[in-house]
Amino acid sequence: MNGTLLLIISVVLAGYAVFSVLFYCLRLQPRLQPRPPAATAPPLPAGGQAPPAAPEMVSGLRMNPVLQRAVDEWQYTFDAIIDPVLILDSERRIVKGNRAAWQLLAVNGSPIEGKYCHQLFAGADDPCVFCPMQTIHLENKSHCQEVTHRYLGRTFSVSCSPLLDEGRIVGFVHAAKDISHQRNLEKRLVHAYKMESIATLAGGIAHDFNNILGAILGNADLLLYRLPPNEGRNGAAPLGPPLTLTEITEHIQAIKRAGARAKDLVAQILAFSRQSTNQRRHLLIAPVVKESCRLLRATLPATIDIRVAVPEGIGMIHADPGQIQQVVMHLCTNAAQSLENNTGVIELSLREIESGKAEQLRYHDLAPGRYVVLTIKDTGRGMPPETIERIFDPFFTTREVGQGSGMGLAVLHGIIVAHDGVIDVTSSLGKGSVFTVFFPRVPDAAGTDDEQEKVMPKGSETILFVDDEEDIVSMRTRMLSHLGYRVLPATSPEQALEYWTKGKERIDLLITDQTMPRMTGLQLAAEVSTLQPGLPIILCSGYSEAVTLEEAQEAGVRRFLAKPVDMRLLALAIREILPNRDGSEE
Amino acid sequence: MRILVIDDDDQMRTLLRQVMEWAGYEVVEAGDGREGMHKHRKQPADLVITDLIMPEQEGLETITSLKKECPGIKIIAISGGGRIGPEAYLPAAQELGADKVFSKPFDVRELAEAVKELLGHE
Repeated sequence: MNGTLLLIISVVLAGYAVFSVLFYCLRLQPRLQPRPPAATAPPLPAGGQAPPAAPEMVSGLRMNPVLQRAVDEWQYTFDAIIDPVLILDSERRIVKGNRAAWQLLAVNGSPIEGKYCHQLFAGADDPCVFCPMQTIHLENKSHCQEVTHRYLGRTFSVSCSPLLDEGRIVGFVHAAKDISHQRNLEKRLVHAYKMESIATLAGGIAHDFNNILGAILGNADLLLYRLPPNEGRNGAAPLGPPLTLTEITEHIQAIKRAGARAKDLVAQILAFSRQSTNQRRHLLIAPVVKESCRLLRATLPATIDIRVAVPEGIGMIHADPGQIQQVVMHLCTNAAQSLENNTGVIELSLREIESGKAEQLRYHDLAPGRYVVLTIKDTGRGMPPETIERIFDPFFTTREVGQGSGMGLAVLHGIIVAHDGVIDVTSSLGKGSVFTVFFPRVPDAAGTDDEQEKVMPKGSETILFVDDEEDIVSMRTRMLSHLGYRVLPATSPEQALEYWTKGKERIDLLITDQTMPRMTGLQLAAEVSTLQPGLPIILCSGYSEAVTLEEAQEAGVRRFLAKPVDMRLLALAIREILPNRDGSEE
Repeated sequence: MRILVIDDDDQMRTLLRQVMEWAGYEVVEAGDGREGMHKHRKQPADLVITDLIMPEQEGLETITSLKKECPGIKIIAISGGGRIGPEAYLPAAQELGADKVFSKPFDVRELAEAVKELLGHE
C-alpha cells in the first residue's frame, strides 16, 4: 500500500517537474539571457561539443531531488535525439538546443543560445528566403520542407512547429534531419541511370543513323563513280552505262530524303535529352507518351510491334515531363528486353480511374481520388514471383553481366513515388508482364476552390507575372485578376523587360519563375532591380537549393515561393510584401 | 545473274538495287527475311545481300534458312548494328555462312567488287 502511494506521489511530482521545466523552457526562457554551458554536462562522445547541462538551478532556486531528476531526464531525452533540435523564440533566436544541435552549430564551443537560427544555419544576418517560420506565421500550423544550406554544405528535412500561448506564437520547435547523404546517393544513382539510358539509346540511334549515312554516302559514291572523269573527277572510266539526268536527280533526292530523316532523328534525340530534374508542372501526359513511342519506334528493333491506346481527354497530372518520358522509355525498354528474339508486342495505354475500394484493396498505397493510369504490357517471357518481389530493389537485375546494372527500376520507383504515384506489376511466366503506374489527376486550372478564394486577401496593384509556360501565365493572370490586381503577363524575360524599356507601365510587384530559357528569374530580378530599384520581387522555383540566400538578396528578391505555388500562399505573400498600399483584405 | 536484296529500310534497299543494277545484275527486292525466302523459292537468286535486323524474320535466321535450302548460295550480310553495335552481329552472320560482311555505311564500289568476286568464282 505504502509502495503504491509512493509511486503515485512520484508520478505526480515527476509530472509537475516535467511541466515546470517545459514551462520554464518554452515560456520564461525567451525572456532570459542565454545561459552559458554548465560544468556538469552529461557524458559526451569523444570530440563532441558540450551542450549546456540540465538546469539544476533556476534563478538561484535549488530544486528538490525529484524535480532535479525529472529535469535531468528531460535533458537526457532531449540530448538523445539524434537530429539537431532547437527551441526558438518568436524572433527566431535560439533558446535551447540539444546535443546534436550543438555538435552541428556551435563554433569552437561558443554557445548557440541567443544566436539567430539563420546566423548558424545560413551564416546570414537576415532570415532565409525559404524560412519555414514565415509560412508558419501565415498559416499558424506546423510546416515541413527540405532545405539546402550551402553555408553548412548540407541538406535538411526540416520540421518546424509553432509554440502557441493562447493562440499567439511565442516560439518554434525546429528539428533538422540531415538528409545530405541520401540526396547525394540519389543524385549519383539518377546520374548513373541516365548514363545507362544514354548508352542504350546510343546503340539504338546508331542503327538508324548508319542506315541514313549508308543512303547518303552510297548515293553520293554512286554518283561519283558513275560520273565521267572529265566532269571534275580523275581516275578510271566509269563502269556501266552513262548516268542520265533522271538518275542524277534520283540520287540527289535520295540524299535529301536521308538528310531529312537524320534531321527528324536529331529532333527526337534532343527531345530525349531535354530531361531535367524536378521541373514539375501541370502536364498533359498523353503527348509525352506519344513522343516517347515515336522515339521507341526509332530505337527498338522493327520486329517489335508497339501498340498505343491513348483516348482523347486524358486529364492533367503534376509532373516533370522529362521524368515521365524516362518512366515510359525505361518500362518499354525493359518490356522489349523481355521479348524472346526481339519479337512480340508492347502495348501502351492511358486511362483515367476513380480509385474505389476495389483498387485500394489491390493497390495498398493508393489513396482515394482520381488517377491517370499508364499501363505497359508486353508478351515477353514474364517473371517468377520471387523476381517480382525484388524488382524495385536497387542493383537487382535479371540481365547478364554487362547488360545493365539493374538500377533502372529502383530509380523509376523513386521518380513515381516523388510524383505521389504508385507502380504495380503483375506477371505470368511465359506470357508477359504488365506494369501499371498511377499518377494523381490534378483538377483543371479552371476549377478553382471557391472556399479558399473567399479567404484570400485582395488588392489592386499592378503585378508583372513572368513564366515561360503559357498555361501557367494564363492561369495566374486569371487568378490574380480575380483578386483585383492588374496583371501584366509575360512569357519570356525579354518580354518582361520590355515593360520597362517601353516605359509605359507603373509596376508595383514582379513575380517571376526561376527556370526560363536564356535568362533565369534571378538574372531577370537583378536586371529589373537596376531599372526600378526597390521593386518588390517574388521568385517562384521548383527547387530551393538552386538559389542561395545571397544570390536572391543580391538580385532584390523579397520572397521565395516553392513551386507548385499554392494560390493562397501567393495571395498572402503579395499582401505581406505590399502591406502599406492597397491592402483591402477581406 | 540474279541478286536478291533484303532490307527493311526502303532507302537502303533502293540504293542496293541501284548499285547492283549499275554493276550489271538483275535485282529482286524484299522488305524482310520472310518475303526474301518466299521470293527466293519462286525465283532462286545467285547471291543474296541481306540486312540483319529486320521485322518478321531477322537476317541471321534468313541466312540459316538459305544455307539449309541452298548450301552453295553466296550471301553478303550488312548491318548498321543495333543496341550492341554491328561488330556483335556481323561475326555471327559469318559463322552461320555469310561469305562477306559489310558494316553500314559502306563503300558501294567495294560492295559491287565483293559481289563480282563471289559470283566470279562460280
